[in-house]
Amino acid sequence: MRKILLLVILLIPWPCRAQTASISPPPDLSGWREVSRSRIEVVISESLNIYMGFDIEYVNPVNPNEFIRVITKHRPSIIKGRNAPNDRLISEVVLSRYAERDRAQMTEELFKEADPVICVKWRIKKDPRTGKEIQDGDIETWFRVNSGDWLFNKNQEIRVEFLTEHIDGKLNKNILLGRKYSFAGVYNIFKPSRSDIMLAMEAK
Amino acid sequence: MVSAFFSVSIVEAAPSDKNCTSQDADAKKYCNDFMEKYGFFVTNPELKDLKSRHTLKSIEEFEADFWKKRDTDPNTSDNEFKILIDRRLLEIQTEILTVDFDIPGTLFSSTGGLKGDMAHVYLFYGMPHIKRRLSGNQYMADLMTWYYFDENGRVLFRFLFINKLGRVLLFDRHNFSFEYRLEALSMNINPTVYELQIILDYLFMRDPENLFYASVVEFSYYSDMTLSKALDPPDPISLIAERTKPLDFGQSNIPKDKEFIYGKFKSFIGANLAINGDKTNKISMELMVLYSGMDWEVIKDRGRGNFDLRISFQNKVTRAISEFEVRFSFEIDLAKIKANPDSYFRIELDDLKNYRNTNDPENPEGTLKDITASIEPGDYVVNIDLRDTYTRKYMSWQEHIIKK
Repeated sequence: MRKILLLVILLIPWPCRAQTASISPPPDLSGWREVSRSRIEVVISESLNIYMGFDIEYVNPVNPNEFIRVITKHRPSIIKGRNAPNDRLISEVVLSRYAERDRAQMTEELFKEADPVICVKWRIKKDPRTGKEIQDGDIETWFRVNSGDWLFNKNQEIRVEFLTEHIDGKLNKNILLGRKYSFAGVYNIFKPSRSDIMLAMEAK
Repeated sequence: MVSAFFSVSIVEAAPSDKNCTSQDADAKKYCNDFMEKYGFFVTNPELKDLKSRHTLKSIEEFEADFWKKRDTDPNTSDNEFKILIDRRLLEIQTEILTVDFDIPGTLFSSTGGLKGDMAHVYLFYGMPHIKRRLSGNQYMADLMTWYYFDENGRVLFRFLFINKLGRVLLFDRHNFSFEYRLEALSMNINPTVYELQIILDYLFMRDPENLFYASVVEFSYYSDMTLSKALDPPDPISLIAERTKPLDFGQSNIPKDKEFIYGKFKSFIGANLAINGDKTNKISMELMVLYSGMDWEVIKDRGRGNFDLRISFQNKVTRAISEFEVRFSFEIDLAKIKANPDSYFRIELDDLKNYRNTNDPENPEGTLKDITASIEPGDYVVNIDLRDTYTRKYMSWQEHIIKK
C-alpha cells in the first residue's frame, strides 16, 4: 500500500518567522505545586478512548493566589478495552484493580513523554466590595509554535475547536477526533493518526 | 440396572505426587513444605518449572513470583491473596470446623488433612455459605454438604462429602445416571434397587431443605460449572489481567535492531508547512523540518527520516474529499544533521506518490501534484498529518485554501 522512497533533500536553512506577539520562554515551574490534572481525551465508544495530552493546574507555593495552567501534548494513545473473560471464577473486582494499576502506569509514562505546549498564568485577589475572588492583573499566555519556540502575549484568548474526520469502514462517518488550540495567528493540533484509529476499530 | 463401578474422585494429582528436587536437602524440604501447603494452587506449567529448580534460592524466587502473580490488589504493598490463603491454612490446621455450629466435630485431619478434598475446597473458597451434615444408616453413608453462592445469590457449588466408615470422598458423579449417583451414597458396593429406594426415601425424610438431594442432582446452578473446573488450579489473576489489558494502538514501534538519534521534542515533530499557489492556480506544498526537531534512524554515517504523511482536501460546499497517503524516507549526512540542529531543511511534497487507495506498492495512484491539479475550483479545508513511522511523534495542520 505504501512504498518507502528515498528523496533528495534540499538543504535550505529556514529562518523562524516572527509573530505579532513576542517570543519568550514560559516560567520555570520548579517548586510549583500541582493542584489538578486531567486528561485531554476523546471518547469514540465505550471501548475506544483516545488520550492526547494533559491539562494541569499548578499553584505557586510562595504566592497561593498565583496559578499556572499547562496543557501538555504526548503521542496519541488509542486505548481499546478488551472484554473480561466470561468466567464465574474470576473476580471482576480484582481485575478492575489490575486495570487501575495499568491505567496509572500508562498515565505516568505518557505524562513523562509529554511536551508542554500552552501555559497560562494568572493571579486572583479578593474583591474588597464583594469578598469574591476576581482576576488580579494580566493573564499571561505562552503558546508553543511548530518550531518549538514559545509565543508570548497578554490578555489574549486561546480558541479551542474540536476537529472531526471522516472514518471509513464500519463507522463510515465523521467523528470527533481531536482539538485545535489557536492563539495569535498560530495553532496547535492534538489528533491521533486515522490509520491507528482504523486499526483499533477493526481489532477484535 | 445397578452398575458395579467404584467412585473415584476427579482431582489433580495429590501434592505428594508432585516431586520436588532431591539434589539439595534444603531445597527439597523447602519445596515439599511449599507443596504441602499450596500445592493445590500450582498449575501444571508452574509444577514443571518448580521441579526443574534445584537450589533453595531458585525455589524461593519461584515462590516470590508465584505469590506476586496471584496478588489480588497490585496497588498495595501487601499480597492480599497470600494473606487470605495463609489465614485459611491456619484455620484448617487449627480445625476451625470442630466448633462449627452447623457441623461440629468436623475434622480436616480425618479427611486427609491439608492434602484432602475438604482442605482443597476450603483453601479455594473458604468457609461455605451453607454447611449441613446428615447421619446415614445401614444403607446410606454419612453425608456433609457445603454450598457456595455467587453475588447473584445463585448456587455456584454444591460439594458433597461422603463418609463411608471413616473414608471421606468427594461426590463426583454429576454426569452419570441418577441410579449410579445414588450408588455413591450407598454403604454397599453393589446396592440393590430396593436399597437405592430406601436411600432416596431416607433423603426425602431427613433432608426437608433438599440440600443433599440437590447436591446429588446438580453441582451448580450454572451448567458450565463442573467439579473439575471448580477444583483445577486457577490461573494466576495477573496473567488473566494481562490477557484482558487494554491495547494501545498509538504506541511507538521502535525496532530493537535500529539505532536512533532522537529529536529534542518528546511528542511532536518540529516542522512548518507551506502551501503555495501560482498564477496558473497550481498548488504546491512543502515542509520545512527542523534538524533537531525530528528523530533520525542511524544508517552508518547517514541519518534517515521515516514519515507517514496523510493529506485530505475537503470541499467546503460539496463535502467531496480527495485524499493522499504515503510512507516515505529520506537520508542526510549525520554530520550535517549534527552541525545544523537549529536549521531547517525542505521537503517538497508535490511529487510524492499516492498510496491512499491501493495495496500495490508498485502501482501508486498518481502524485500529490495530480490531486491538487484535479480538485475542482472551490474552497477547501486541507488536513495534513505527518507522523514518524517508528516513534509516532507527529505534527498536524489544518489550512483553508481557495482553488480558482
